[in-house]
Parts: sequence; C-alpha cells; structure tokens
Amino acid sequence: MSRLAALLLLLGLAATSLPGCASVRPWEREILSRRDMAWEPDALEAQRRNHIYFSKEAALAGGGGGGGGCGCN
Amino acid sequence: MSTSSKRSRQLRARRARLRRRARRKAAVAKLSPALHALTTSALALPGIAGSASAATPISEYTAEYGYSQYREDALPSSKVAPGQERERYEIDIHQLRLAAPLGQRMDVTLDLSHETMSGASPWYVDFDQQSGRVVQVMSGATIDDRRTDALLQGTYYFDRSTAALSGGFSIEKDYRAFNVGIEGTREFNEKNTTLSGGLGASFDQIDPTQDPILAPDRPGREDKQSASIFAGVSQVLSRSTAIQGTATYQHARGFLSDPYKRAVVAGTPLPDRRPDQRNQLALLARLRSHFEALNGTLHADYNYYLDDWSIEAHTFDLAWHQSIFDLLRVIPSIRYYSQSQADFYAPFYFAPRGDGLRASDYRLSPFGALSYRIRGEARIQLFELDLGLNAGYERYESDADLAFGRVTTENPGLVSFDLFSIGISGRF
Amino acid sequence: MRFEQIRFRAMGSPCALHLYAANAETVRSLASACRAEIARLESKYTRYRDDSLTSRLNRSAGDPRGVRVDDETAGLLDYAQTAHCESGGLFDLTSGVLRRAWDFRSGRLPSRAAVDALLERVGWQRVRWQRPRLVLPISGMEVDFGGLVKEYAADRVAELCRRRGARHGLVDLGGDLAVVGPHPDGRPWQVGIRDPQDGRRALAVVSVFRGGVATSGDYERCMLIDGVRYGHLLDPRTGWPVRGPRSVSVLAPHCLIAGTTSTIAMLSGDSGADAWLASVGLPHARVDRDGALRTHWPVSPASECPPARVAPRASVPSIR
Repeated sequence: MSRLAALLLLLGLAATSLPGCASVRPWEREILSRRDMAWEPDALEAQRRNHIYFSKEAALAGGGGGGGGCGCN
Repeated sequence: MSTSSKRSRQLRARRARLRRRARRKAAVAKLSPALHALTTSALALPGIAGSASAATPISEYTAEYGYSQYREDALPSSKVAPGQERERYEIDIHQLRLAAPLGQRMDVTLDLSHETMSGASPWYVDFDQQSGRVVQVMSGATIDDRRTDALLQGTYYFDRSTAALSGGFSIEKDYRAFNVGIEGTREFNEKNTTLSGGLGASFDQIDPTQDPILAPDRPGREDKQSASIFAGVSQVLSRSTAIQGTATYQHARGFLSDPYKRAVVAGTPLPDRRPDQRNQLALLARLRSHFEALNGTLHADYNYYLDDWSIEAHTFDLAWHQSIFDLLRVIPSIRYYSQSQADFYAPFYFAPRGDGLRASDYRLSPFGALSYRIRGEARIQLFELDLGLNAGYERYESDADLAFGRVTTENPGLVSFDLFSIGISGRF
Repeated sequence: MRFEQIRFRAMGSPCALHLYAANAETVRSLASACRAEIARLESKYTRYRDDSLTSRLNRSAGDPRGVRVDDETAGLLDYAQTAHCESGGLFDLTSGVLRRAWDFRSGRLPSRAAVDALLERVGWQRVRWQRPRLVLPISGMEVDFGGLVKEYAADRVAELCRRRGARHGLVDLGGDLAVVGPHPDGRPWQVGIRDPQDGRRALAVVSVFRGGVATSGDYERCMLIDGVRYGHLLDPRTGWPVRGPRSVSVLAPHCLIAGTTSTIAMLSGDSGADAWLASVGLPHARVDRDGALRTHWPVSPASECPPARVAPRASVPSIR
C-alpha cells in the first residue's frame, strides 16, 4: 500500500481520538443543523453524480452505503 | 418496611448511576459545576428526562423528482478509426424519491430511477497503420438502452443510534442486479461524535445480447457477486465545522469483464478478459465548514482509492454553498479526479499476456478528469406545501494530460460531457 | 401537519400550547392531556387550596414527625436542595413567608423587627429533608413551590407531548417555555424577550430549537419610596429586596433549569448576576434597570434544518 494510503489511515485513526476535543452543546447546534452542512444536502444529486462517475471511472466513491451494481461499469 | 427500604436503595442506586453518568459527561463536556449539579438533579425528576433522541425520523411526507440529460462529446476524428461513428452516448435520467414516516420511530425511503441511453459505444482500440495513431473503434449498433433502478430503505431510530435495512434492484435488457444492505449509526458526546458502519451485498447477472455474425464468441449468461463493508466516524470540531472519515472495502468475484468490448491482440480483436476477482478500498475524508460572515458553507472532500488491479485514484471535490436571503442558494463546485491504469490494461497488445488478461476499456486506463459545476436552489412556501426547485449544469472533461503521473498513450475513448439537470421537491 | 394554538389560563397566568399534529383530533386529545397534567400539578402544589400537598406540608410546620412525600415531590425537594447549595442560599423554598412583611400597596417599608421576626422562620438549612420525609421544625415555616412548578410543568408537558408522538410544538406557561420540537420544516421558534416597560413590545427575538426558556422579572410589583425602587424579589438571607436587573431570560436544556438559573441571577444583584450567568454558561438575555438589553445568545440568521432523515443517511451516502 502506498505511503499516502498509510498516512490517511493514520489520520483516520487519529480522528477517532478526537472525542472530547470539542463539546458543542445541544443548544449551540443551529449552524450544524443547516441543510448545507449535511454530508449530502441533496440526496438525488449525490446519487446521480456518484452513479455517473462510477460508470465512467474506475474508483469507488467511498462513504459506504448500500446499493449494488448496475450494468454500466 | 422492607419494600420501602428496597425502594429507597433502588432510588439511591439510580441517583448514583445518574451522578456517575453526569460526572462522565461533565468531564468530557467541561460543564459548569453548578449547571452540572442542577442538571443531574433535574434528570432525576420523573417524566422530564426524555428520550431526547438527537436523530429522529422524518415527520413529513417528502417527494422529489429530478431530470438530467447529458450528452457525451463526439470523438474528434483524429481519435476515431476512419469511417466510424463519432457520436457517443446521450443519456436521459429520471429520478424519483419518496420518503414517509412510519410510526414514531421509523421512516422509509423509496428511490426510483429510470435511465435511457442511446448512441454508440466504444468497442475496441486499434492502431491505425495509415495515420500511425491509436484510434477508437466504435460498435456500429446504435444502442437504445433502458435501465430501471429501485432501492427501498427502512430506518429505525433508537435513543442515540439508528439501524437501517435496504434492498433494491437494477434492471436492463441484458442485466439484472439485486442488492441488500444493513447499516447503523451510534452517537457519542452529545452527538459530537458519530460512528457508522454497514454491510452490503450484490448479486448480478448479465445476459449479453448475442450477435452471431459480428461477435460469435461473445459470452452467454454470466454471474457476479460482491460484498462490501464500511466504517466511518464523524466529529464536530466547532459550532460551525464538522469532519468525517470513512473506509469502504468491497470484494467482487465472478464475471468482471465487459462482454461488449474487445482488445486487439497481435492485430486481432479478442473478447475483453479481466480477472475473476477484485478487491477495492476507498478512504474518504470530508469537511463541512460554515462561514457566518459570508453566509456560505465550504464542502471539501478527498477520496483515495486502491484496488488489486493496481488502480490507484484520487478525487478532490470542492464546493461553495452560497445562501442568498435564505431563499436562494448558489453552489459552484469543482472536481478533480486522477486514476492510474489497471496492471493488465493496454490500448492494444502485440502479444498475449502470460495471465491471458486483456482490456482496452478507457475506464481502466490512466487519465485525469476535471469537472466544473454550477447549481442553483430555491425554496418557496405554497399554501401548506414546502416547495424546492433546483437546476444545475456540469462540464466534465477527461484527458490523459490531467492525470497525476505521466501517461505514455492516452486511451482515445476518454469521455467528456455536458450535463443539465432540473428538479423539484415537496414536503407536506 | 395541522397547527393549532390552544390558549387557556392556568397557574395564575395566560398559557398557550402551540402544537403540530397529524389532524385536529390528535391535537385536541394532546391538548386535553396537557391541560390535565397542568391541572394536576397546579392542584397539588398550589398554596391557595387547603387540600393541596403544599398546604398539608405547611400545616405540619412545628410537627417533628413531618410529612412523608411521594417520589415526584421528593425529586423536587432534592432539586431545590441542589439549587439552594449552588446559589449560596439565594434559592430558598422557605423564603415565601417574607412576603407577609412587604405590603406593596401600602407604600410603606416594613420595620426591621417585623422582617427579622419572619427571618426566624426562613432558611432551607433549618429544614430537615431526609428522603422521603420532610420536617419543618419551626411553627410558621412554609414551603412554596411557586418558583419551580411552572417550569417543571412546562418540561413535563413537553415530554408528555413527545411521548405521545408529537415532534413539533411549544408549551408556553405564562412565559415559561418548553420546546417539544422545532417547526416541521426545521425552523426554530422565535421567542420575544418582553420589554419590562411595555409588555406588548419585544426587545429582542431569539431562536429556540429545543430546550426551555424561562424569564425571571422584577417589574411586576414594586414600591417607589424616596426615589428608591423596591422590587418584590426578596433576598432570603436579609429579607430585603435585591437590587438587580429588571429581568433575566435563560435558555437551558430544560425549562426547570432555565427558571432556576434566571431566578438565581435575579437574586444575585447586578454584579452577582454577571458572575452567576458567566459561571453557568447558558445562553441568556438580561434587561438592566436602565432598560438596556444585553444578550449572550448564539443568534443566527434564520437557518434551516435538513429533514431529520438526512442526518443519519447523509453520513453514509449510497454509492449506487
């Protein structure tokens, strides 16, 4: 595995030790609950884009989630 | 007498538990001691410490429809074998999403999409002796394909976690796929940290349209199975910033080649042949950060991909969500993608490979792609209906020169396209 | 989604239930359950009825055996004890008797002797509270749940709505608010901080997504003698009115905590209020005696909430 991948994995693990560094109280969440702060504000657009890129490129989009194959790749 | 002392023991134990829990929370959350003490006491009162579920099912019915159309650029004549069809695909996509609450702790979502593709598809890559160029040979047939997709997902909401089950299918004239999935999330630190994970499986079957004259050696019915697992963590960094990291691993086995494509080996186009297994890894890191002074939010995503066909890919996606008067949103974005080639890929082969593999599909070639997008969203209130309208445009260009590393021979079949989309959504 | 506002009078104040529910019937049944709960708490803890628990407790003053209380009252007494401790004695359930010395309609200050005599019967530290038994050892001592019940009721009613499936609504008991949930489209409730001078005017509007808001004010009853204003909030340690802000509004995860915090802030006086509110760290707004409004509230532009389903799903987007 390339060094870049190893670095990312390390960052990911470091991220799991983050809990406790930020404590935003429930009543301070107005900004975080904005629609444009969601990981995917528009599900339809995200699905379409991911599907189109998937049918034209080799990579997996990441982010997990279900949904299986199609005849396009 | 014995029941009351047992009861008071139970109450003392409960209060001690609550104190311990509040102490742990306070230690993490740096609560003021006074507030901590009052909160612990308040939580011990009957009937006010509720489930306070941070994530709750939707409470309204939602319907969303989107229509997109994109046309792949015609191939320049320099990249096409003489006398060949240069026009490529034109694709229409209809999407529908319906969501509804189901009781107090569940909701269900149905995603449907129907795609129509027409045009010519790449067949194989050849070396044109006359011009000395590597060219794309297109399949003569004008394909008119339809694909229908459906996905049903049900989510159950616990106090601080969720569990979801999903199932769906994808059907074309010559292709059938069924998928199932299960996933869950769990919140920690007052929803400042969320863990997520899931499993998925897909069962595919391809029944290639036969062409006894032009392709008598085309494979018949074939199967493919794949399984995937993912895990992720999201963390709130501040009132206006959050990050997420996910790792996804997918294993596929069965017929992974493209029955409609060929690769030229020593001058003869032979059927595309890829390994019968593939292991893929994707690592995704995302950032969402809102800037109050600008009334805009930054989205930054980076995806790293690696598989055992030796393909390594990077994706950078940057978007800016600009809110205007809270009614309108304008979202410009840019995406850069770069992939390396599959180890068994070549535009064409002078001699067969030792492992018998061959593929000249541009999707396995080394290239980079840049896409520019602009999107607009508007929300209006119509009587009791909450309506949303959106429209977008994307320009996607792929080119070997855009790739990270050096590319010796660009696959002539690389695709570029213009995409237009519009959509409408309603909540009631 | 049907929206209805049900207004009524309870606990001596104008109350309102702002509820969203699937249909009119659901709203009505929800509203009647809420009103029943409010009526239950009112009749249990009011001091204006002979058959209330409060009256029974007050009648037992001087009796060494005291009264055995139920779990709910025990919880409230534990909470009051915590508040007494955290506020350095300012929050005191037994301070009610002091009002007897202060006749705001007479326009006359009470004599020191009268106040001192009453102070003999004031002080939570004098009370013997050993769960489940409350003993008021000195005859004439009184407990007054008035500073707790309205806020507690708001929290209970909001939780009751949630347990019955309502997810959007606001409970307003005379200005003590508890949020059931934001508007269905995710918008927060817009709460006005009332101008103490002019009850119909709002000095500021704040957004509330969840939790409770309570306001403690000193603008209702007062006396002006020799140019000095004597409010009706009395310091239980001295028996005399405190000189502090005109009103303090606090936002907390529960209305009960918001109420206690705002009351203690008011009783702490001008500088004490600053220190107390800073140490607690909750969003608040205060109106000073000169009418100036100071807010420490994360006020944001009307921000939207995504549909709740997007939250868990969005963290795991599909890759189809």
